Amino acid sequence: MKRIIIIDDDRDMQAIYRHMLKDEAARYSLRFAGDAARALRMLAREPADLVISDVIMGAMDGETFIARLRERGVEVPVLIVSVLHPDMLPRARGAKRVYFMQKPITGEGLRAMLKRIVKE
Amino acid sequence: MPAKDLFIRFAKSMRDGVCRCTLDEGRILFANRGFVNIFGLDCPPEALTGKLLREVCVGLGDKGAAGDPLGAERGVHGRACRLGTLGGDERRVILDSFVADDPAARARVATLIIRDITDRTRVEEWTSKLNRLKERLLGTMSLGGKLGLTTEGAVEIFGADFARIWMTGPGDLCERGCVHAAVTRGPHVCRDRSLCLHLMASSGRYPRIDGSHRRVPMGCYKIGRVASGEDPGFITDDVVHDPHVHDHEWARSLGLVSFAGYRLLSDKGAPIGVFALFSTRAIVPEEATLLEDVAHTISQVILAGKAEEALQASWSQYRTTIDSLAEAIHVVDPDLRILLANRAFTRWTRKLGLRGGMVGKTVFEVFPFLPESVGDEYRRVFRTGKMLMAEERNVLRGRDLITETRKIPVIEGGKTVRVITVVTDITARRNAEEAIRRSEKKYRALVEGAGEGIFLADTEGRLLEVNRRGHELLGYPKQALVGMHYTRLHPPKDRARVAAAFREITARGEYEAHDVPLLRRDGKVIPVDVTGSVIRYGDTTLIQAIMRDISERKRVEAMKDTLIRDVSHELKAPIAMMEMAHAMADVAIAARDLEGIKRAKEIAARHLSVLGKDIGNIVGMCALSGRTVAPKSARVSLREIALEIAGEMRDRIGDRKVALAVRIGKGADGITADRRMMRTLLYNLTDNAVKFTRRGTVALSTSRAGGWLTLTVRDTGMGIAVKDAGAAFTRFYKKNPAARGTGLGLPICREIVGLHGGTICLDSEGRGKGTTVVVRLPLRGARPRRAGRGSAG
Repeated sequence: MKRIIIIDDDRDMQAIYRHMLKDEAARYSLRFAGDAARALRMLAREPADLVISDVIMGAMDGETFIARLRERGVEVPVLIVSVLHPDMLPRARGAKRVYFMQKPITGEGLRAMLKRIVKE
Repeated sequence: MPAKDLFIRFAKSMRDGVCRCTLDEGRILFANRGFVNIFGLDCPPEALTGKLLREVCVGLGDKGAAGDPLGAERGVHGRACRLGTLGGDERRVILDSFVADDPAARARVATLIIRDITDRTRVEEWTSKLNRLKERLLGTMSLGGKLGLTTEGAVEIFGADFARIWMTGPGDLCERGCVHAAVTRGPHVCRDRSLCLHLMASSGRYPRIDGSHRRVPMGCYKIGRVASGEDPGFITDDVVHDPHVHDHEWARSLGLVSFAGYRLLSDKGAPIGVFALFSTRAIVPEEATLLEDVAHTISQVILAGKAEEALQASWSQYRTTIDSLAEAIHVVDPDLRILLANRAFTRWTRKLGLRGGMVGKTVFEVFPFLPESVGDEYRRVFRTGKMLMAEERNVLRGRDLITETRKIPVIEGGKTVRVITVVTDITARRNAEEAIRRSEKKYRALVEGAGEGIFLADTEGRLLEVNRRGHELLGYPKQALVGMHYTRLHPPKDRARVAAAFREITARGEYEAHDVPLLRRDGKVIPVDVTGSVIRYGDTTLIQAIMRDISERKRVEAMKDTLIRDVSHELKAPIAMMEMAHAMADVAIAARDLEGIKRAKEIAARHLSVLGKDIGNIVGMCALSGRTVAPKSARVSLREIALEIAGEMRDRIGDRKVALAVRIGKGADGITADRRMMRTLLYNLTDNAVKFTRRGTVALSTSRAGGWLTLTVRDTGMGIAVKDAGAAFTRFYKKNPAARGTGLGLPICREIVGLHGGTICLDSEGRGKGTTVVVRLPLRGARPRRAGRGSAG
């Protein structure tokens, strides 16, 4: 069972993730964080195998979140899911173990990506 | 001893001539050696005994009869008379005689005592003639003339055969026929061409001065040896045999007997020439003394002549020099009369339109426009002997004439005798300077008023000048940057790069760089664009750098980038959500999952609404700022709108613990306004409050007073720093770039309020302390300004 933390302040998007991964309950355990600060606290409490994050969010954006994570020496892979093209996210692109998916995403695409990241 | 014998012994011892002879026929009874000598007789005195007096000498003058021994019948005392010798010479003598009967001779006998004063008289004559010559030499005459006069005088006075004067000087004919220059053997080799004897004057037998002896090498022949000091003051009375005379045959053929050569010396003892004289008779000692005196006189004449020539040459040189100077010069005497004016001065006065001669006139006659102070200046220079410099401004024929005058005293014998006045017309220079000063003033104003920082450094990089803006840019007080090295204007890590750029400016003459960091005094770094160039004038090279603060431009660019990103995000995000909701619905339909279908539909609907709102905001903002909409007047209930919006906000609040309170009383909400705009106003304000409040309260309230309605939206959210409160009304401004939204909410509110003639202000006590937005709108009869903008506070 792989532990995944999903950061998104949009409850609708959280619902979509749940729906897309509802058949993967045996493989992935999902935890949701409404903002990046909460995700950092969660990661401090217990490690995760993967973090899925939006970019444009309330107090802390996705790129800043990755920077904070790496500053703390947490090398967990991060999948950035955003409507923005990765080219518009230079700080995230420059970080290690960061993956990108551009919204809209499909359930299939997401599952394939998770599989690949987890395997790596 | 008999008296006769005593007489003879006495007479023999006398130097004067003594003779006893008979009075009647003049037969000599006795004569001494002195007598023989006076008449130049070539025999012993005894040989004269028995001879007649007339056979020995010739009586000259009135009493010259031979029978009457010198007319001394009754004796004479101290009588001066002239006697001739047999050889034809004339002797001047003083005669004393007495007559007595001689019993032995049985006759009357005259005893004669003759003192020869020929030489003494001659010396006196020579001395007197020489004195006259000296007097003549004191007169005005060229040096050559004076030397010629001297040789003529020497020949005449001393009865010389010929006399000559040579003067020392550098060899001038060595390559032009000087016979001595070719001599390579023997004693007469010319050894020093820089010192040669030039024949200057010759009188007597050889009056020419261009013969073979016109130049004599120093140290050669008797003349050269006299000059060099080997034979100074050389006199011989036997030129025919004297080894110093090289051509005895020549001397013999001319009957020359003596030669006297004198070295002419300067005051310091340096040889300046030779005076030489050949004579056909022997030179007596008195003559030699006088010749020595003549030589001394000649030396003085030469020295004075040379000094005068040097003075003449220097005057002529002075005149030439003054004439060749570009500066206008004139010389005045103590009466302020112009003694001399150079060419430049004459030219300049002509240019000024002043005609006529100047020399002899006073400066005031030549320049009638000069003020009396000029006369005072001259008098001061004559009195003090100190140079004076003055600038004068005069008007000549209606035009300004500015001159700079240097009055230089010429001091002779401790007294100022003349003043050299150097006049420089500086009218053009002063006018140019004035123009430069004016343009410099303009330049200063331009530089000081420039919106860019202007820095001027020397080639070492030391700042020489920095304008006001430059000091502002770096946060230094006025002039504090002058003297600083330019590298200190930049952060330490950038200094090497900046130094390379400075070298490039110096080498290439120009340079441009963008986004260069400047280190302010307070440690803040600001970005600037730099244009560098080299300025050269005269020998000076300066480096100029113009710096433009691009902080604002960079901020706007960054904002623009963020805006594009945000707007595209805000538009694409709801579309993406709808697409994903659509896919979710498909899956739910296939699985007959009714709950899933419902959920997907709700998601799609919500994001369709968000999209609509965002597009509405952007279009609305364009319309408001483009002034293409006018508010419609209608009765509007703010309470109704607020409640409606509160419902919509519930989903946005989600699971956050935020209480949304609408505290608007029923009677306190009516207003005449554009309903749609009022809805947008309330929605944006509430949306903002909800967005920035994680927990707590968002409250909407109204109040009425004095024809105005005040709407207050207060939250307990994250608040805003006081300094950022004003910027919140700037379009696309987002304090947190990662926050959702277009950054148009508050700017739209301000436009709406402005169109309704109201005001809006945002207040916060700081971050984490909540925000309050207060909107004041006119209740009724408000005259919305079509193009107005609400004032934001």
